[in-house]
Amino acid sequence: MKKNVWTKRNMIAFATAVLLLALTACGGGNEPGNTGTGASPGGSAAPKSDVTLTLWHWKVGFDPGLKAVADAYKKKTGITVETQVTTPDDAYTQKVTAAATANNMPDIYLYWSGPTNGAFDGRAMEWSAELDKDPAWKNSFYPSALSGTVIKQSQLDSYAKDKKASDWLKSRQIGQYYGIPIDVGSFYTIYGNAKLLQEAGVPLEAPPTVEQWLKDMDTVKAKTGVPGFVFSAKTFSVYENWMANFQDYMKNGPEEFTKFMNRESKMSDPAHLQVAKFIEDISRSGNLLKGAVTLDIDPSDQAFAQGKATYTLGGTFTLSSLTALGMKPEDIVSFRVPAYEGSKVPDAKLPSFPLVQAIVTDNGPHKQEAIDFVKYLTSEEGMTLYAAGALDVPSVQLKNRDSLSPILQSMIGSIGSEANWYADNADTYNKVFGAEWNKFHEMKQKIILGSATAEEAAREFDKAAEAEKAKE
Amino acid sequence: MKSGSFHSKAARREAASAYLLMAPAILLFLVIGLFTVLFSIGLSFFHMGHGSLIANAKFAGLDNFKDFLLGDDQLLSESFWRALRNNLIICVSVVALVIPVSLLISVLLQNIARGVRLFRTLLLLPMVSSSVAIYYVWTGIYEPSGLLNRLLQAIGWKSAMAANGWLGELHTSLPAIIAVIVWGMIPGTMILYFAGLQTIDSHLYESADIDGASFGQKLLHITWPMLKPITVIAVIMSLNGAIQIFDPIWIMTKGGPAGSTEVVSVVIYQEAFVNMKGDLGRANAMGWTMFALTFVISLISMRTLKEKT
Amino acid sequence: MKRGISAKMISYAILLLWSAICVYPLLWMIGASFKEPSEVFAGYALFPTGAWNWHTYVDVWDRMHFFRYFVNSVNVTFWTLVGINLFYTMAGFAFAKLRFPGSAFWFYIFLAMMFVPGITIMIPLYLTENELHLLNTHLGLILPLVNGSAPLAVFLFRNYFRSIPHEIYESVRLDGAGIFRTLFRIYIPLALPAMATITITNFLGSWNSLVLPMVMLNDSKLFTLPLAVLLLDSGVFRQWNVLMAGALISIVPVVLAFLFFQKYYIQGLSAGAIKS
Repeated sequence: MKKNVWTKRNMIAFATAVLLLALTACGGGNEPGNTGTGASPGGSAAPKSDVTLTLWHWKVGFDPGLKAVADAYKKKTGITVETQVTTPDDAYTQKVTAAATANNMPDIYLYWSGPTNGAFDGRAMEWSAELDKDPAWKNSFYPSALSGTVIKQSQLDSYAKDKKASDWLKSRQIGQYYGIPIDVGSFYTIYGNAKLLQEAGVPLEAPPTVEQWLKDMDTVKAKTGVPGFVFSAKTFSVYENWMANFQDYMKNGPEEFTKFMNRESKMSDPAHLQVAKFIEDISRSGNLLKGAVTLDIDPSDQAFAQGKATYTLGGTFTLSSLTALGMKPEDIVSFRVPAYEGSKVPDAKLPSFPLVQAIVTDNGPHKQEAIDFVKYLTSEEGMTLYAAGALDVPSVQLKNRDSLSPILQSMIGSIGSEANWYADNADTYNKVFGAEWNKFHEMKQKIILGSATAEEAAREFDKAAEAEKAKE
Repeated sequence: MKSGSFHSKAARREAASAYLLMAPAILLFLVIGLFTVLFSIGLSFFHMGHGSLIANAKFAGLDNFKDFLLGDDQLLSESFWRALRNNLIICVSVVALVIPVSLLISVLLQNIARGVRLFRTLLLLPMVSSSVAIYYVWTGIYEPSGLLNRLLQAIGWKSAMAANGWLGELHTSLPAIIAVIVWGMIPGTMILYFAGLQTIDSHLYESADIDGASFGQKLLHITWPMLKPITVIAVIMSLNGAIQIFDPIWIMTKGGPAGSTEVVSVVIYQEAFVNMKGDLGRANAMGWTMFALTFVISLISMRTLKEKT
Repeated sequence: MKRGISAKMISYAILLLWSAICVYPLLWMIGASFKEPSEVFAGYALFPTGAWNWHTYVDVWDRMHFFRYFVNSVNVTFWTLVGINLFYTMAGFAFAKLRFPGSAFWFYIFLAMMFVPGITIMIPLYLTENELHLLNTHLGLILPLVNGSAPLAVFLFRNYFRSIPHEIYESVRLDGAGIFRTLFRIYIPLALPAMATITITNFLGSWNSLVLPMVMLNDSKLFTLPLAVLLLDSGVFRQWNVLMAGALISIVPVVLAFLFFQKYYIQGLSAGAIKS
């Protein structure tokens, strides 16, 4: 029986050990994190509140801006807003998707802009009533910011066609908002190295056409030996969504562009072949920096900043990276992506659209406080604090920009405020994320590496588009 | 009969003790492992779009599997099969390189008199420092003007240089990735062999020396057979590592250029978390197909290696 | 004799070359952490050509709140290692020394877990932890980390216990010691090298674990070191010197542990891996 005594004693020891393990680990997990319970010593004027809101996002660079707004908000209302950052992008997607699936969302979260993006079948609250209640607030946004967020007929059409779209998506209505834009921006911007251009005697003004632009690249290359262009050919959508779709829109006008995006026109058609041809041209002429297929977006910016290429492709957000990389603003020229000769809409204004939206969880315990915070964030005061801290163009037309840095002021100045066809048709130009464009991305790399021609790439694209169309 | 009942009582007690000892491991497995795994397998028979709720998942039957195995979704299927081919190339080359190099290095290490500890520490460093950062370093080495191209230039092998960088050419990207994977896997295998060598009776070598055996003969007739069990483990672990490989590829090439380094786990990851039109169900279906494949390959390689002894 | 010397020299040459290949990336990381951001990829030199930028380390140390994340990492890693060594010595002992129905079944179940595709189970795991209220706790990291180490740990401990002569087991049992006493008094003390091996292997895995805490933790006060390093990745552009300094600071404990335990690690491997 001695045996059993030992067994029992060991069992007890073991159970204690497991319990201890569990307790200690839990204890580690539940450190006093809720410091938001109004511990403001002596701040008799400051209102007190027990409410702590949680805000998730994925942009480390935005965090100072959001924190500044949260601090100001706490002084005003006593409500604490804790920001929690998860990087990089795909880890954030993973986290938010998991949380949505488990119905475990924070009070507020940021997500990539777009109607129903991050709405997770109704996890997100719908804003149209709030916006209508406060017309002054609604009117303070750039028109393009709201029009890029609201649900339109075209979205409903594409949900209806999509086999995988959930019943929730299919039952959405026109005019609903599932997020509030917090910033605006644009792609379709070429940055040029002014020093190299001057050295080669190329004018600093924007080239009128793509054809002229290619000639400028040749000139600089002949005079200085520096290749003309660099962009992240490793990353899907940098060329496709930051340049090619907008150029096709300018070249062919809204109608034909829509047909192309909807898989009704072919890339092999001369009207659209330029998408592949441009890649072939710059690769064959040696104007694309060698190794562009291995460059991510940051290293591509870096290569440009180091003077390894004359031009680079970017967005409104690229300027701050370039200056952070040590380029002086006066050494940089920038212009909208040039249009092809004979384009139908060559003067298309640089469209702006929301990039990031704030979403409030519909069934959260502090929904009203979360709404109020988002309204404060998108007020003149909140947006000024945010813009200064995040170096990001706010979604609201600020009346007073004096407190902002010059570079930010110039970024804000470059944003077109009026809505236009292109900006209004996000669901059309966003078709560039379809599977056939992924195929094109692959073929694009083959063109660059000399193992495919533009025509072959276009044919492969058309085949893929046809296969995708058959699934609709 | 008497002794039989005593025996079975003892046996029952032994079984009870065994399960008591295994209780924490099994409990943890049931809660964290099994439930999660069954959940994931179940999900592979459903459609679940990006950002959809689990409650709204739609039953898909075998559709997810048909999509990538049979080509019902042509583009995904193309990627999947190409990725699988790349995985197999990686598997074969990893085993073919990791095993002999690790064995060679550990034998050399065993045979030198001085500096064993120092070399062993240096050689194990990749294991310790194998963080995400290391892959960025390799990216720099492979750049068009990176270390590798400059070395080739310095020794006059200009024709061997990769103009777009080693990760940027269609025919060099996969070998370049494989080199990094092999580099990262060698220390673990090497240390296994090194540990194994310690257990081989030195008398075996001494008597072979008396018979006048060469270095190669000793390696082939003593070392290799004695290390067979380790080789089995090393092969299975390298195969598993090579099939599930993700980090270095995701960080260095994202599967490019033009899909030349795409592997199944990259396709799965894109489908599950990157592609906004992705389907979590399909990602899980691909994941479990990969599981089945790894399992079968490991069983086969275990059998063949054991039979050869 | 002459031939012997030249063979030795070849051995040393190969080892030196291979060591250089092994060490180069680490040296690069060290060099980069002392450079100016613009210098990291610009020049050919491994180390800064101008002044060494020590300031980066000071900056990183302050920004990282190194101590807090260090404590979190220690907490997670320590309890993971305790759990692994406790749970799987017991299981390994049962597999090695006891006969019971289902023995083979469970053994292969544990081994098969090695092939479970890590990428796909993250969301199901999240849902499981949500039900168990383990999200945003360190225990929610520890349990999957312990479970994930099962295949190798069960295998190694089983083999290790088998390599201990069976006569010991019989004589201890004949003296009247129970199974638990035999395990905890006789076998576990003998298993220290195997435990060192398992500890080192999982120290690395648990200390460097990235995706799991990224998905399971929300509160930055609970973050582990690898997450803290990622937070250094500022949004505007990647500051390589800062990232490298952070990464190096975070691997110092691993390197130290490794140097310290190396001898036992190899002992444990010798006994545990070979006799299958």
